[in-house]
Amino acid sequence: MPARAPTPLPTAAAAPEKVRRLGFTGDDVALVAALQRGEPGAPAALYDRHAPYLRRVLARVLGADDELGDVLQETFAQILGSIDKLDDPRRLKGWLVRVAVFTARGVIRKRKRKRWLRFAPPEQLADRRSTTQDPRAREALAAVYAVLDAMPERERVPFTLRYFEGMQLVEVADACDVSLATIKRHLRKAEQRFVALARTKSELHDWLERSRWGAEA
Amino acid sequence: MSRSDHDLDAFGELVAEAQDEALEAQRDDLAATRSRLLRPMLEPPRRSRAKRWAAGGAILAAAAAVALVVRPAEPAPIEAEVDGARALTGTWVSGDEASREVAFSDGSRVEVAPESALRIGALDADGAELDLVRGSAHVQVVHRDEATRWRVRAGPFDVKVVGTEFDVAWDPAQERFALHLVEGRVIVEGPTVERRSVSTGETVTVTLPERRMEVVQLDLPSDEELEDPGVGEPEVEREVTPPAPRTPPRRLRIDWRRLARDGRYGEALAAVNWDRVLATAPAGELMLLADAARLGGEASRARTALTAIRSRFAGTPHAAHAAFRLGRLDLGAGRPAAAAAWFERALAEDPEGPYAAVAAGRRMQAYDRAGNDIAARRAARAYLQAYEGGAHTEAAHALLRDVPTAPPTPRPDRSEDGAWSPD
Repeated sequence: MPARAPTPLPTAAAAPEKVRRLGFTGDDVALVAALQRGEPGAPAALYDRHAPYLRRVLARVLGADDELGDVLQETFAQILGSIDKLDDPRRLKGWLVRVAVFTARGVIRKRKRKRWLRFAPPEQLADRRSTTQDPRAREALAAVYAVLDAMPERERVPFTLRYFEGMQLVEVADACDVSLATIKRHLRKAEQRFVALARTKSELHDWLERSRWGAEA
Repeated sequence: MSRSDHDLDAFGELVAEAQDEALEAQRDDLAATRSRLLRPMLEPPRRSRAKRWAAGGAILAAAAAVALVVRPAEPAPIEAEVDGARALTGTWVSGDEASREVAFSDGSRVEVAPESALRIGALDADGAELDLVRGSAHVQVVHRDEATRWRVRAGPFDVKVVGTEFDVAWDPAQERFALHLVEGRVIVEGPTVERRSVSTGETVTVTLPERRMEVVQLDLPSDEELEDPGVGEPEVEREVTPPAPRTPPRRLRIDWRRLARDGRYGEALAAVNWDRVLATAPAGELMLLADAARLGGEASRARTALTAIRSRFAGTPHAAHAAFRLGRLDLGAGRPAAAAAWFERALAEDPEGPYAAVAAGRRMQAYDRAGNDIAARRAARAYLQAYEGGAHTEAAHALLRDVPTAPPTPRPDRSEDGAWSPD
């Protein structure tokens, strides 16, 4: 089943000329209601509450590169623009992840188009610089995302959510907006493909060895 | 779960751990994105571009007219450059990942540390005024004559300088100020500090919430620690293995942070001024130092750096992160019981932090290795409650399966978030 896009964005409400920033203390249901009413402090509260998690989800799917901040901003712009369409505020977190995954997919497609246009290996196109401080881990991370760049998007996204973010299968299916059976099928293929490609990368030798069944973590 | 030779959950944990470290180092991105996203909603509408140009033109014309009739009565102000580009009053210098250098035309220099922000407040003929809003900076002011006047404001503290070299730090979250004087003398004023003179080798720290000031006389670093003799050109100033000596020799500082980031851990540890960094560096820099020590095989120094984070940044996510790292150090060193205690602290202090899932898994592993079966199973249940499906799910289930030689004992209550404390 193809992924469904979040509802198109309505035009953002006109910004008030002068806004006092107030702390927001309600739960997520109250927060959604405040956002839908257009309360001034609500967007900041939504960001403060959920941005760290969504940033991590985006990083899992795309890699923690220089574009991450821009993608997070685009994700929140989508969220704030379409919050009126959220039917069940109790499911806010799942909906936020779905929007983030949808945005990340757009970025993956854009990067792939770039690659076809330039005939260059993926690691040379986007700046895959990571600021992790151990150079070996940095190289391994770059190799992981080079492998993922070679995988179909329908396999890459659930694979990263399941194994890197540690989501449950039901959550992965929800985030990708497909059925549980479909996500299991995609994951099976993704696992085989990822391991086969990762074995060709010398930078991943150590991590593969450490994750071999029975190896000491 | 993968049917291949590899446990992809364990592999994913390695990826997540390395990536979380990168995300932690880029924590400022969150604030920057917040600002970009929300600023348009919070700012009043601006004048149109045409109006702005018209207003700017009028101001320029007026300034030109004034300049024609009023001759400058004072010497020209000193000029500043940031990374080789001219910087005017009001320029922000932000050391996000790497340090940034501000060079002044009178020979003075300021190195803004990573994760720090400094604003050039004023430039005049006798000196400059700098505002350190966050983080730390290394300041070298050249004393030209009696008129030399420099000020560095670090939060609410005011450092008046004539000619000297010092490190200054301000942590707005902790409301903590620190100043280490390498050479010379400065006057510090601020809350709880009533116009105090600070001399060579002294470190002043003020923690505002506790209204506590400490002055420590540290051992002075040797010249060898601070200098790389026999190096000439400014262009190669940060090179540690420079070309052949040239004249005139120039005093240069070795940037241990760059060495650490390049994976040259031994050299970084040799270059760092340990006492000064422990006393004044921001949390990110201390974490870098801990990493350099750990990867350089000096676990005890890694532990010292992490302990400094725990003490100087207590109550912040940095302290929880340090607890997590201390746990990993102990686990790697074969001290699983101590490791479990650190993981407990990390989880208690930042239960939603980026390391929480890994810490919960490691806690379970640590208890298991320590032979504390009851705690290990309790940690396994807490893990499954909070992170079912995560990287340690299989191990948690295995721990819970691998019991029943004795009848099951009643389980103690767990908190809602699955965290558990041994106390």
